Amino acid sequence: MKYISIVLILALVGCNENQAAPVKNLSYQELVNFPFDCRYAEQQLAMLKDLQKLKNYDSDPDKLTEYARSYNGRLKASIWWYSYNCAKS
Amino acid sequence: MKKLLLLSAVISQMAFAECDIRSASVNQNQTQVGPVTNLVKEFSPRKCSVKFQITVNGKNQSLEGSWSGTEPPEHLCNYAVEQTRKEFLVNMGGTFRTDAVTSCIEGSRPQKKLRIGDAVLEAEAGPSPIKQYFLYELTRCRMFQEQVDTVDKTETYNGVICQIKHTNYWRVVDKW
Repeated sequence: MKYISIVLILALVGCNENQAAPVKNLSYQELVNFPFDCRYAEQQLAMLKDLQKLKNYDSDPDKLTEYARSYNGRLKASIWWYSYNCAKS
Repeated sequence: MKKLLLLSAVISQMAFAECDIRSASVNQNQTQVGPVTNLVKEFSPRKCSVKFQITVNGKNQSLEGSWSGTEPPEHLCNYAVEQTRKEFLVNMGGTFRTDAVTSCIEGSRPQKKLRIGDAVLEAEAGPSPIKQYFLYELTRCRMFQEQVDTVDKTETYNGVICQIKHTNYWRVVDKW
């Protein structure tokens, strides 16, 4: 019984370790101050794309509120930033 | 009588067909000609006068022209821009290659704004403050900026277009 309990606890701990960290819901100001760095492009891009999924804005900017349009624009511009600033030579 | 009915049916179809001219020019002598910017249209009965700018080898050129006819005012303006631009380019000399597409949509006005997924000529997507081209998923891309006048203000949109391989067309891949 003891062994079964230990195995169960270890399995649960293992599952928790494998769970993705929660997406950080950045404010608009945090996006403005985002510390872009090509050295961390992969991680930063993944984070921004997760945020984009979380926000799930309509792709048509005309369907967004003024605030959502500003936030979405800043977020998309941030994601594209890596494409034209971090080109691999 | 039958002929008359047929003729009137054809004319009515023509009247409702909205056409849009899309063109871009490349001077094969390596002169760089940019898209039409700062377009100002003035309508008067059966006439459209236009003022706009294009960049040639990085220099801004201001052009003016007009077109008269019985077509809808927007068409007159399109013709005015095209004709003025062509005349200017002809006077510049050199060999130009112009890619042009005329599309007519029956029963509705031509689409004005770029939308994600649209295939466009490069010159149709206005320049962005970020000028550089970059590679995205192995295709050549650049940012664009589009300004659309509404009743009470001018909306500015930004976006990205990427060249469709082996064609003169570019795909609008993102817009905000």
